[in-house]
Amino acid sequence: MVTDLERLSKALSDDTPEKLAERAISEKADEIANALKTTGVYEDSKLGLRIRADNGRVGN
Amino acid sequence: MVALIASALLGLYVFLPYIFFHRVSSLFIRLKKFQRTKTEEIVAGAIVAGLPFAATLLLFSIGWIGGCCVPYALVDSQGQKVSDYRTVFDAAYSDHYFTDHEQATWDALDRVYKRQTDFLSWNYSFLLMETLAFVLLTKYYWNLKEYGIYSWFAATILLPAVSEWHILLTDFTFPPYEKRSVKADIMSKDDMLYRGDVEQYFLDSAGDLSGLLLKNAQRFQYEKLKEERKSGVAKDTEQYWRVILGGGNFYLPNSNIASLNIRYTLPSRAYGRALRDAVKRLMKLKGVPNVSVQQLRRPRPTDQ
Repeated sequence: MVTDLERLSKALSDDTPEKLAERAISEKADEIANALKTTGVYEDSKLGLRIRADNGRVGN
Repeated sequence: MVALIASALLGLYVFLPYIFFHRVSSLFIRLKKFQRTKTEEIVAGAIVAGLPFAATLLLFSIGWIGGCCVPYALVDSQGQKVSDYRTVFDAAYSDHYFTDHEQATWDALDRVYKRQTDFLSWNYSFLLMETLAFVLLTKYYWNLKEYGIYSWFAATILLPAVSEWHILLTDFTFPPYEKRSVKADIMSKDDMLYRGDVEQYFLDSAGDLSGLLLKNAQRFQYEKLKEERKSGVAKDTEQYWRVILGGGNFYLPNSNIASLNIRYTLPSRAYGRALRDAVKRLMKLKGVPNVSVQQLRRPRPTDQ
């Protein structure tokens, strides 16, 4: 029981929405990088993101 | 009479400190509740009350407490102290002794009362410190959990005392400055899907969840979705969520909850920033150092 609550707390902080989204992006990292190198843009409707390769500019 | 005195001492030194500790801590953190037997109550009370008692006893015996720092500073010998307690005990045990030594008993009782007051005033001061330390160490779990010794202490002493519902249904695990809200998707036993912000939760006398109060509650119109899908209408599922009317407070009793999915969401701006930072970090590693990231829409509750 002692360890359970500690594990529960760790699990809660490991599986936050932004970390889950980061994992989803991480899994698609190669696909995104390829799209940016070839077409310069990648769009993901599920994540709600449009990513553009930005030549020299700092992204917003 | 002896039994009466023993009960009073048990109450003052074990039960009352335990009740005090539990009540004060519960103002800040929901503690675990048990249906305890009398023996378990005494053991729990002895553990909570043991530390301040031992500290007070130690400091009194080595002379660090006394003189000006107690309500009644008695200047008397160890022999006088033992004699007073013996007199009071004998008088409590035997009416005959009390009648024969009435004045001596009252004098001894007065000194015993003063010594006990001195001791208890410090005992309860240490109890207050113990309670505050427990509350602070538990409340700052989010900040301290990475430290080895604290982590062990929290796992073995602090967290077992906290209700698992407090950990699940509040932002206990997260830094308060992140301003996360606790969102729940709830499938009810009558097959309705609800979602909303967890505003309050209620526990029964056994410490089990008895109900949830949701703010901004919405109900999913599954029947409407099925009908429209049959007739070929393919709308975004987000459009089937309907706000529950009635002032924004929606209470769902645990007896009607089949399952619960809980999310701890950042404010949408912070969430977007976290995603953008993650994309930029990853793309830098993949050889695309400069990217701009645009959010196409505000994150949906189900995305977060």
